[in-house]
Amino acid sequence: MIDTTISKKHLEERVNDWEKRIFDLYSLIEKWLAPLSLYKIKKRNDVRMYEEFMQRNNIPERTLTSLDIYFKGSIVATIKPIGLWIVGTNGRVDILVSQGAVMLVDISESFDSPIWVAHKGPKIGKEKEFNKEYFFNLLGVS
Amino acid sequence: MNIFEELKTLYSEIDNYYVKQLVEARRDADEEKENEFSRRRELNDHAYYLFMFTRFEDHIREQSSKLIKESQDNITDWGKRRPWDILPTDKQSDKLFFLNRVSLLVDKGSHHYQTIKNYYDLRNTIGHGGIFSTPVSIPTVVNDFNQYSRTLQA
Repeated sequence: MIDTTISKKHLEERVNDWEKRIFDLYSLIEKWLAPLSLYKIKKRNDVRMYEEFMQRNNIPERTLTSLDIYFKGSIVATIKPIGLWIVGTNGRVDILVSQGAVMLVDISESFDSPIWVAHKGPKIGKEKEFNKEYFFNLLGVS
Repeated sequence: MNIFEELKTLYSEIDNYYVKQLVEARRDADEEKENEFSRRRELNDHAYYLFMFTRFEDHIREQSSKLIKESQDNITDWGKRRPWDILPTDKQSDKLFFLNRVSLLVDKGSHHYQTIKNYYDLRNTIGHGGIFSTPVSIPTVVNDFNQYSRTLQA
């Protein structure tokens, strides 16, 4: 258990950094979709973050944002943060679509610029770089 | 297809079904159903993680026991063989702690060892009734367990 003041500060900074990376990811997606008038975006503050490290170190819970993407008025994708402290990753965000989930995993080191890679099951193989082309392909944007 | 990939395929079939329900719940603004299927996804992550960890643990037991047996059989100098002689060759033996078995196969000071230790701690957290909201990334687990199964050999 990490219980020193410095470590608590470090953990709080990790949470702040996670919030920023999610905000930046959403901003990127908004930028990609901005020229497409049939797509709309709506954010909701409905994701509770209270992970084990936070509970053990008395760090207050946070409310994170999810993002719904609408096409012609219907939701076609929802993006939700899943967790920060995940073994082997620097956080996971899921894109939920009717065919299943694309799991976006940040493979960067703590406090580095994010490197988002996409996993889509049940396909086996190497993860794909998450970029505009991948995202548009997922949404079926031609 | 190896065991981890086979399990990932089964995992994804279930996860995709739950996600489909989640997407419908979101469209219908059915918060109760959305929370229910979010919870099911978490539990599915944990169930398949524990299943995968047992397969990985078996690999570590198999390879560490093989190394012990080979060392006992092949090192003729007693001075060098004696630490090996007191280790169990039976892979089912619990006299050798899991992480000690790992440290026979990978440098204890390496980040690989630390990652495996983190996976072991996660297994204990989930398996022994810890905080069930601890998130997991199954695709990452599959990649890591595949890699370590290839590289951690006797």
